[in-house]
Amino acid sequence: MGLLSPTVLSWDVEAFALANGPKRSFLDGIGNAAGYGFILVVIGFFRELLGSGTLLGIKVLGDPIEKTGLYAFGYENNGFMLLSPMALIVVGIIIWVQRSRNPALIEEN
Amino acid sequence: MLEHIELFFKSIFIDNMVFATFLGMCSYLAVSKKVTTAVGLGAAVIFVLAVTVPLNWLLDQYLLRDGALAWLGPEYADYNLSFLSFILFIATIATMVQLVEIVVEKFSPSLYNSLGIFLPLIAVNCAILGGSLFMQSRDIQTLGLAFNYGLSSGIGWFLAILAIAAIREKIRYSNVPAPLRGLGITFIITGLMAIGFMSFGGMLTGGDEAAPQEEVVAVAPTQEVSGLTADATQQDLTQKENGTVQEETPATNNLINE
Repeated sequence: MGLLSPTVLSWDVEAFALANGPKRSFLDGIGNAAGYGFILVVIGFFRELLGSGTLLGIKVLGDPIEKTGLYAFGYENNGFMLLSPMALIVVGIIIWVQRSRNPALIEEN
Repeated sequence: MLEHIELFFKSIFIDNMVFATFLGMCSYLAVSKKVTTAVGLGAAVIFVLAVTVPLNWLLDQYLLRDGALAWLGPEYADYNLSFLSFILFIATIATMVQLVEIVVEKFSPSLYNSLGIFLPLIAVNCAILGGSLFMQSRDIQTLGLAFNYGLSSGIGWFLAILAIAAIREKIRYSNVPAPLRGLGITFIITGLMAIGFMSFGGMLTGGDEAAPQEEVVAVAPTQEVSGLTADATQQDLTQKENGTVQEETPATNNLINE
């Protein structure tokens, strides 16, 4: 979990590779890539679920046109989540959650 | 001249490198803590973009694209070297960044130290390579337009990093929740700014797209009615006055609604 927000830490890669051997650098690269992929999946999960009510194209919340499932109770998709700037805001919220759980990461002003 | 002005404002505001295409985010987030360093990096990006995009345009035009080698002789006219775009563009960019680094180290050591690793990282800045690749894919026609595109994309990136650096200097005195301090709030502010910049999208195309839609809406009902109210349309045709015809169509619309 220490590898969260990898785009933020991407420039550590070169410094790490200079200070460590090829084997540890390889593991570091794999870990950074896995953290990046994990964040990508988390952002995609929330944006697809809240934006269009589907996961991997499957309508998990019901049909918005025929008003089945959750939509029968008046739920509406938040089309705002489909806009690309919302990815940045979701990343900001992920950083918020991560740093609340791990206060050592909090930056000083 | 008009297309130069249009491209200039389009690249700065509508296709802003940071807020519309999200390119060059890493140095944008890392170097935006102080306005002075942000201005230094922004100026370096403007220079590199304004030089590399026209250079890469020349490479694309006379070396890479399909049939570009025809100037060497007719037997070379069939070659298509566009698969070499990345390596040649990157080589041009790395050369220019090396030059900028030497010049900055010589003339402004304090800026060189405050930029740190982010000055050489301009070489792999996605905004720079993105500028050259967008230039290729948008099929920019002349060298002057390519220079204009590089310069104005750089100015857009400069404005973005200047704005976020000024906001981050001011927000230091605000009561931001502790886990959001630093990068978290910067991500959220950038998202809000990007939503704001989406409103520039209608700046150039708004007038052209709105007009035909209104015509379609107004014409379609009258054509449906024309068969039903044949007497009314015949009267209109006999009068043959545009003013009366235009007065009649709202009336028929009201009939449909009723």
